[in-house]
Amino acid sequence: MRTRNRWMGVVAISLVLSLAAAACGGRDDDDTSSGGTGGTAGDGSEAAFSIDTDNCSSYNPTQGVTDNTIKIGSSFPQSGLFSAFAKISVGYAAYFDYINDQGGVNGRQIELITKNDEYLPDRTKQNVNELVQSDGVFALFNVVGTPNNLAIRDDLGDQCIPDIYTATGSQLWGETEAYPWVIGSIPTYPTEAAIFADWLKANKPTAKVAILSQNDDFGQGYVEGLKAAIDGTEISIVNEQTYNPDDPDVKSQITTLSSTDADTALLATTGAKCFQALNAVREANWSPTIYISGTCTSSTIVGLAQPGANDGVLSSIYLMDPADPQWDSNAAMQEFQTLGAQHGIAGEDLQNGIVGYGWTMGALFVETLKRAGDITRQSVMETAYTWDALEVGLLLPGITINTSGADDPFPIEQMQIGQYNGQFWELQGDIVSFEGETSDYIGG
Amino acid sequence: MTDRRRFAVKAIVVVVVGAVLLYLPQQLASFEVGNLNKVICFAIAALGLNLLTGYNGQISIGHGAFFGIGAYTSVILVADHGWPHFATIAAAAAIAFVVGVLIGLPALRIEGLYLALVTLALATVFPQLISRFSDLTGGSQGKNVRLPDRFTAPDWTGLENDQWKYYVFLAFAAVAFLLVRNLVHSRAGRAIISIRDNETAAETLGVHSAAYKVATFGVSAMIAGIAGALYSFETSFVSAGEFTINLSITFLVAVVVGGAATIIGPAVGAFLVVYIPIWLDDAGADPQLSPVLFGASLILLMMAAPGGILGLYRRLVGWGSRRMKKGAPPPTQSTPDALASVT
Repeated sequence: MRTRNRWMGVVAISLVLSLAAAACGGRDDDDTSSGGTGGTAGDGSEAAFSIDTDNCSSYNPTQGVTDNTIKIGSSFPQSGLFSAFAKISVGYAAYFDYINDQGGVNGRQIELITKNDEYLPDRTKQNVNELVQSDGVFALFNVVGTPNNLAIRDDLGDQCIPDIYTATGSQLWGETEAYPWVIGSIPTYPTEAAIFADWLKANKPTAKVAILSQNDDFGQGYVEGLKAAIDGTEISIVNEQTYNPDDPDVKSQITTLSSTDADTALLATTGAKCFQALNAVREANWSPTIYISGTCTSSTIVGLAQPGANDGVLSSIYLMDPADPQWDSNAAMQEFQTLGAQHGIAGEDLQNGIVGYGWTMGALFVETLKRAGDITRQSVMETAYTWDALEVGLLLPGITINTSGADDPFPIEQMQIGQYNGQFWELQGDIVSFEGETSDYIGG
Repeated sequence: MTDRRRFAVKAIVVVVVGAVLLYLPQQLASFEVGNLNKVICFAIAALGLNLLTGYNGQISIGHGAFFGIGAYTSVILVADHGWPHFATIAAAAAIAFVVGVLIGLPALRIEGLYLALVTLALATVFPQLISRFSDLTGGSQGKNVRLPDRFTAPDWTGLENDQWKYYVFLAFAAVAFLLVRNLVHSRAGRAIISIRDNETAAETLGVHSAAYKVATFGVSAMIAGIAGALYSFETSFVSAGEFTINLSITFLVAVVVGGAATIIGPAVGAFLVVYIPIWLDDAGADPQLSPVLFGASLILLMMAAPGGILGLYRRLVGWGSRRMKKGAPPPTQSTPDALASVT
C-alpha cells in the first residue's frame, strides 16, 4: 500500500503542476475590448432615434464587416415539425445572391451562415453563441420563433449585436427601452387578433369563439389580443385549449373545443400544428368559422391540410400571394418571379408565399444596409427604427414599412383579411391600418 | 507486466490525460469549451445511469427526467429565490435522490422490459409536468437566468466564464467518477453487481437486494440530478423541449456506446454522443438527414464493438497481451471473434 500512495502523490503533484502551467498560459480572444463610442447613423439620414452603446459589455461596431463582405447569421428550424419555416431562407438567400451578382451592397458581398435549431430555444442559444464567437457575424437576421428570440435577446443585447427583423410577430419585440437591439418584422399577433375581431364585429357580431393556442408567448399574444379587442362586444370566448410545441398532435384539444357550442375558432398555431388542427377540425365534423395565425399562410403549411379542410379559412395577409393571379402583372411580383428563378428558387417555391416573405425580408435588409451609410451595428439598427413609408419586396400595394424609434418599433402594422380558397388567399374588404396602435392591443 | 509497472503506466496516462484536460480551455474558443462543458455534464449523468443499468442491471430510460429535475431545481432557485449556485446543486441532488428512491420502490416489483416501460413513462411525463406548471417553470418557452444571476467566474481566478465552468464541472466529474469507482470496487459494489448477475444467488448469500436496488436507484438519480444542475449553469436556460425522451435515450446510448459496466465508458460515450452530431453538422450534412446518419454511425459502432468502446479496448488489450505471451490463452478471455457475446 505504501508504494501506491507514493505513486498517487506523484500523480497528484503532476496534475497540480499542469494546472498551474495551464493557468499561466492565456488564450487570445477574437473580440476586441469595449470602447466603441456611438456615432450617429451615416451621412445624409438624420437618425432621430439613437441607441446608446456605452452600456455594452463589449461593443464591436464592425465585427463581420470587411472591405468586401458583410457576414450575417440566422438560426431557424431546418428539421422537425417546424421545418416549413426553412423555406423563408430560400427567399432571402436568392435575394442576396441577386444583390451579390450586382456587386453587393456598396461593393460588399453578403455572406449568409445559417444553423438549424429545430425550434428549440436552447439550440438557438447555442447556435447564436457559435455564430458570434466562431463565425464572427455582424448581425443575427430573421431568427425564427418567439421562444427562440426570447432565449437570445439578453445575450445579444448585452453584447450590442443586432437581432434584426425577427421572423415572429410577438409584441415583445416592441420593448425597445429594454431591448433596443431586437426589432421584429411581421404584424404582431395581438393586431392579428384585433383585425379578426373587427371582421367578426362586421360579419358575426354574436360569435362564440373557441381558441386553440400554443402554450407560450406566441399563443398568448393572440389570446390576450382577442380578449382586449372584443371587450364590450357581444362576441364571447367559450373555451380555450393549449398545446406545447413538441406535442405530436392536437386532436384531443380540438375534440374538446368541438364539443362546445362554439361557432367560431381561433387557431393560434404555427408550423405543422396549423394543418394538424385544420385536419382535426374536419375529422371532428365541426364547421366553425376559422381564423388561423398569419404564420400559417404558406402553401407548404396550410396547403398540407386535407382537401376541403382549409377551404374558407381566414387569416391576415400583408404580402402578395404568388399563387394569386391578380398580381401576375404587378412589377414587384414579376421581379420576384424572374430574378428568383435566376437565383436559385425552384418552380414550386416561386408560388409559395413564405418564400415571398423571405424575399421581402432580404430586400428590406439590403435596403437597411444601403441607407445606413457607414456600416456599423449601431447605424444599421438605428436605420431599422427610422423607416418612413418604405415600399419593398412583395408588400401588398398600399402597405408600407414605418418605424419611429421606441414610439413605433413595429415595421408592418397594416394588413387585410384573406380567405383561402384551396389555391391562394382571396383578399377581403380593405387594408386595415393599425399604424402606431399596436401597443393598444397588447393585453396587460 | 508487474503490478508496479502497470501502475506506473496508469499513473503516466492519468497525468498526461489530466494535463491535456486541464490545458484545453486555455486553447479552445469559448463556444467549444461550452461543448466540452456539455460533454462533462452528460458524462456525469451517464455515470449515474451506468451505475444503475450497467452495474445493477436495472434498465432506466428515464434519466433525462432526473437530469431535468436537477436543472429546473437549480434554475428556479437561482432565478426566483436568489440562492447561491453551489447550494442549488445540493438541493438538486437531494430532490433527485428522493424522486429516484420513489421510483426505485415500485421498481422492486418489476424488471427488464417492464421497468424500462415505467421509466419511459417517467421520461414522457416530465415535459408535460413542466408545461403544466409553466408559471413556475416557464413551460416550453423556457426559463432564463438573468445576467446578474449567472454562474460567472470570480475575479480572483482570472478565468473567463466558460473556463471557470469547465474547471468546476471537471472537478465535480473527477470526484463523481472516483467515488463511483470506489463504490464499485467495494463490498457494496460487489453486492450491487451480484444482484445484476443473479439476484437469487445474491439473496442467499445475505445481500439485502431490495435495499441495495432502491438505494442504487436513488444514488443514480442523484448523480444525474447533480449533472442537470451543472448543465443549467452552463446554459443559464431551461425549457421543456430539451428534457424529452430523446435526452433519456441519449444517456442510455452514451452508456452503451462507451461500454456498460465500465468506469470510463460513460465519459467516452458522452463525448461521442455530443460530438458526432457536431461533426456531422460541420461536415455539411443535410439537417434532415443528420439524425439518420447519427443513428447509422451508432449502429456501425455497435456492430464493430458490441461491448462499447471500452469493450473493444479491453478486447484489443487482451488480444495484444495474448500475442505477447504466445502460449495458452488466459482462462477468462473470450475469443477475438467480432461478435462474441458480451453481458
